[in-house]
Amino acid sequence: MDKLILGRYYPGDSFVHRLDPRLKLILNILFIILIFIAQHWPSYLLLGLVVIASVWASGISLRFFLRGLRPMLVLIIFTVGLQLFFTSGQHVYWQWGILSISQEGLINAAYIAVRFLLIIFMSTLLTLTTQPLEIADGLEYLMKPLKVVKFPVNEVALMLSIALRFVPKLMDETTKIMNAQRARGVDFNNGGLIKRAKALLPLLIPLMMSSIDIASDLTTAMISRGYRDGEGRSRYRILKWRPTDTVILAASGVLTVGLIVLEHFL
Amino acid sequence: MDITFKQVSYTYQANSPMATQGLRDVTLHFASGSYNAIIGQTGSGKSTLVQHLNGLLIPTAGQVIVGQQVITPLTKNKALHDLRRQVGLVFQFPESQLFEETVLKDVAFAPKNFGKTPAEATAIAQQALRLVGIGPELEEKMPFDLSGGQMRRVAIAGVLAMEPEVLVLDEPTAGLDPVGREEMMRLFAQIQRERHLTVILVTHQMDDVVRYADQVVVMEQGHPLKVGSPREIFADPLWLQAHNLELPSTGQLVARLRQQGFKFTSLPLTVPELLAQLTPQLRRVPVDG
Repeated sequence: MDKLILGRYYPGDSFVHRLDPRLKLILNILFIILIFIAQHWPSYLLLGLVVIASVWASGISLRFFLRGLRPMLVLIIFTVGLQLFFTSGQHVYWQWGILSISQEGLINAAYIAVRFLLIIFMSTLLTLTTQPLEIADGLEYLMKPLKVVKFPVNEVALMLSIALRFVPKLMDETTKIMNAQRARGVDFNNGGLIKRAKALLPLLIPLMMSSIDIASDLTTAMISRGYRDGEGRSRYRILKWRPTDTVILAASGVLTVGLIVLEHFL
Repeated sequence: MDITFKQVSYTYQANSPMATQGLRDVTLHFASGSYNAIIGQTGSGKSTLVQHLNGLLIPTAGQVIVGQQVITPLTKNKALHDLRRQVGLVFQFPESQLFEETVLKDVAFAPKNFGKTPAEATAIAQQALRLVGIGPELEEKMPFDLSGGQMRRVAIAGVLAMEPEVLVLDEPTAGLDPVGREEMMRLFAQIQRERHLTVILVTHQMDDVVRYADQVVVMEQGHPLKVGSPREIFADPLWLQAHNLELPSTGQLVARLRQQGFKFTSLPLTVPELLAQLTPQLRRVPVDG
């Protein structure tokens, strides 16, 4: 659990840290779209350079990044493996039953691997450089247009910020209960599948109970402080869009156009 | 069981930029059958220290020796099962560890994990429940239906049912009412005497330290700052103040009496000691009207 860095925040005060969370969210979505527009290696090279430049600008060491991605490796290898062995094509190099390695398969697998890596890198960068609450604020802002279709934006935003606020708390609680049960002889890491699943009960039941307790306590506390519903509340944390954000947004626009043009000519 | 810490250090999230040091070069000894108190400010490493006692945390440097078992940075988790039975750890707010359908089953959970037959485990559990003052009428209830204080007792019974030789108590009375606190602390003292347990108590209650502890360890920033008897630790009020530690209530009263001109040769820690020094001086004070 300690090793996975996706979703964690890395405190710092770099260029990327200071960008507006709304911008970072938009750019992340844009980046994923770009990844799927890109069909040729020069485009991937370009996107790869963008990722490296962004990581560099965040002031987080590349080594820390790579180590944090290790837990995702299984997923990547699994997907790449599927692509590799189950893509049928004309140039078959090797075949065994339904498994085969073809030229198309190799190319597809390489594409998938690169796409995976680039997307994981970018989204990890987003969570590493943006505080969870900023992400929630950014999402709330970006969801505003949905009010037209009666989507409860404020409530969802509140839900999000509460959920994010309690992630570390529940993590602590999980560690604590796990330790308490280990101290009573539960072994979480050994034994067969069924034995391990059973060992989770002493963890999950108390965790459930304490989540419900926390929720009901928090509700009471919120109501007693004058909370009614999402409408008509003011806002304390204000997002500030600065000139640098505009510049980055414009640069991304240029990059998008450039990529589309590049794809067109390749 | 004797417990020895030899130059133990522990770093959280070692080898990452978020690494923080929990313990720093801790060398300590807890004698078999002694009652030890660990005090210090929040975040001074008290809880980190006690989690080393049953191998929940493995030191990043140094050795922890509990009875026959030596825990080094290379010790594997599998080797620690037996140690966990010998060292009973009562966590802060232990009621959050209850999960079985009935109180009895929950208390019997640990003995069963450590190899007792269901019948033996039930018998031990009933015994442990009586010990903490839970009657047979509550045995078949859901733990979640009990009051907070009762849940705490059941959780503690769950640890006592392991029949540990070392009992580690991490603020066992936090959030209890005064009567509950008093009862609980007396219970621990009684069990310690009867079963010759080594007790390690983490607490902020200086009165409990004075009343029960043989040895006190003052922790600061992951390092034991001072080790001694309660008398040695509380002898210097200025030193305590400098390290943000409270005096026990007799000590606080003495400080105020000193301001009023009363003289004390040594610091009285208990009420009888206080009275022994105070009474002769009171006789000299002329009584008004």
